Amino acid sequence: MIDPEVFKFVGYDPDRVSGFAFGMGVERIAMLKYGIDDIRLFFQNDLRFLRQFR
Amino acid sequence: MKFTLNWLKELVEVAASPDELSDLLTMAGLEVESLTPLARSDADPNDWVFEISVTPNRGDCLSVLGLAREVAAFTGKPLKYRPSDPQPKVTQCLETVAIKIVNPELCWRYSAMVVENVGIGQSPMWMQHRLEACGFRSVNNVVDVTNYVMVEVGQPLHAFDLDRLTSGQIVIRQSSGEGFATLDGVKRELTLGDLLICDGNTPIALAGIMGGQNSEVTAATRRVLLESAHFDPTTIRRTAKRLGLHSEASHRFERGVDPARTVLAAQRAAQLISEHAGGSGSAGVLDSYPHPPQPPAILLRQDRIRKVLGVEIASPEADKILSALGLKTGKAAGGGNLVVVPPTSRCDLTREADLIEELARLYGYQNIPTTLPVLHPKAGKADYQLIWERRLRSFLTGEGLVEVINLPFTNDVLNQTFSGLWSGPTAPVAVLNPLVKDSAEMRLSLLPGLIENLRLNLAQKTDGFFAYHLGKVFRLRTNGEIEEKQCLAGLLYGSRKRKGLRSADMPGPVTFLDCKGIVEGIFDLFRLRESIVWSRANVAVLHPGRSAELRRDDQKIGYMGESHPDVNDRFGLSPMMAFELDFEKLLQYSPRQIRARSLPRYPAVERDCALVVDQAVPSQQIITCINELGQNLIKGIEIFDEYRGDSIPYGKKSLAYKIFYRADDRTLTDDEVNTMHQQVLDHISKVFQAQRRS
Repeated sequence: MIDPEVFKFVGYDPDRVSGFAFGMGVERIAMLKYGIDDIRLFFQNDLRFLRQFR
Repeated sequence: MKFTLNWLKELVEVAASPDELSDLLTMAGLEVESLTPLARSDADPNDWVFEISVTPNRGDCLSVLGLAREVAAFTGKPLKYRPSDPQPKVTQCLETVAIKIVNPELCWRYSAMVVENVGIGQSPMWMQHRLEACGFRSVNNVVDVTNYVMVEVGQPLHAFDLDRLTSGQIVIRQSSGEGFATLDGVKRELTLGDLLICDGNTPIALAGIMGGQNSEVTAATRRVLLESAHFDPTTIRRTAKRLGLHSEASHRFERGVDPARTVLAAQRAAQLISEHAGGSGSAGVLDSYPHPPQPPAILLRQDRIRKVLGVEIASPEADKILSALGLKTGKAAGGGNLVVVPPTSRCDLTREADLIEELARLYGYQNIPTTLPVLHPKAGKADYQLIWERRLRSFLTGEGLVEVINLPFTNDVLNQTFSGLWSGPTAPVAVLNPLVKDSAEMRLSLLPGLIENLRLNLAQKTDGFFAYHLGKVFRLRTNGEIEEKQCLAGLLYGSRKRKGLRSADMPGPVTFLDCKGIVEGIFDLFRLRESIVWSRANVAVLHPGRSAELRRDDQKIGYMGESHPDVNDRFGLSPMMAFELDFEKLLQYSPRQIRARSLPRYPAVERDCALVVDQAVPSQQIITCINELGQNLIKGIEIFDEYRGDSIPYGKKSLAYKIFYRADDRTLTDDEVNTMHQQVLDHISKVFQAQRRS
């Protein structure tokens, strides 16, 4: 749940507004979905990896 | 923070197995990182070492006592800890020292006890083992006791050799910039903000962080002054960070130590020293506590709990939970509201939101039912830019390119060479705290990243590399603002060799025209083909004769071409084909709506011509010139031949065009067409010094 101080800082009244936040690493979700075993592959740009995803 | 199970069991009743306890602590927000049996052969097989990760807001959990309180709150089992009794043996030492706190806002409380007739030696084995299990090195019986009590109760203690102090006064004050040798032998340069413990005028310890060489306990020590104090977290943190000097003590002070516990801790330590170092403690405790802080009285509204957590925790149950955590509760005005006062050990609880978090923690996050939020969806629109990015990616994939993603950092050398397609004064954006020296600037262009991708792939023995990168480039404007621009860059290298029987027929290495085709295809995609003007490029990284700059309405859209020989040499590569386009301009100039045009009602007439011009004249210029002449009657110009050779003078080339003449309102007569065609040829001949080639 978003801390009331954060709301106050941007000008929202925390008594009237609430919110929640979450984060999911996009690379990690992709790793789960496609069965990729090494996160560094996303930034190495090896053609043998990239070519698998057309 | 490490602790042992048996130590915890001395302070609270634990019925759970080590694994169950580990789960309980983790779900309480104290993540158990490791649970290992004790390493020694003579250890109790039922004892375990827990290593927990304590979040910075829970300074109270950096002690076995704090953890025991958590366990008691969660399990309902009673706490067993009792402050030190029996009382230590008494001698009269009350007038030994006086305490003077110069900065009470930086040192809230200073307590001290004196222990006399101490014999420095080894600590008992059980204490050494426990300290080692928790990551501490055994030093001697007095120092070990200070560490032991710190881990047990959470109050950092320091032992001074009382005989090395001469003034009879302990002064707690800010430094005036003096130098000071800490007991690790390092001389420290201090600044105004650093807090010192002084013997009169002489510094004897860096408050809350580390004692000094000039006052530390040695084998000869007979009288000990035990310090048990509270220091301002911010001051400690600032000093520790600046000096790069962190200790178990400073770690705790930074996160919040309970000022109410100083005397208890000193008494416990004095008792242990008496038992194991043969000392005898003073009767009283010296204590200076000028302004004891008042914990806040916090209003906890009943309906707020439900609004934040989504679950109803009625007032009696909330009362029970908070009391179990050591908070004082009372009724407040308004249905079910409570007013809550946290104990001094919980400096992290200051607001209603903090209390609600404690309720959730003890209620159990896993016990809060899962629901989906109720949303009222509105009809949405797909984002214009994203639609075009998707289309662009599809197109490029269809052309056989793969997409790469590179980090936006580069170095100054690459930025100087590859300055991108910016207009006007361009300076790179520097990174304040780069991870690696080579990544200290934001990229001005996407090309160096692509070239690096190419090199890495060549090392994997690939023979063709066809890739694009859709990403942002950055520059610093003269007014200090940072500008970003979404660009599209592509790099083509090597052969499109395919395997198979007919591979000999396959095209060879990628050419300038291959690259041009892709760029024109991109313009086609954005419906911009006709409005883009191609001219000779003046880009440092491209071959001057085999490159083009692309503009529209005098705005730079991008450049493409073969890499400059210097670039090839520098990277040890054969020539590459590259392009870099301003994606934002493509988006901006692309017509949002397709406007259909009616089909021509009257036929077109073709005329061919061949012109001999200087080799330096770009065909595009001729085409543009013809178009301008044609007013509305030239509907198309196609180049269909380029010839250099025998019948053409040296330094010249022959370009052949097919021109399509058509009127919208009538069929043009042959005469009309011939006249126009002659006008075009005459004009072109004059402008470009061209000769007709029959």
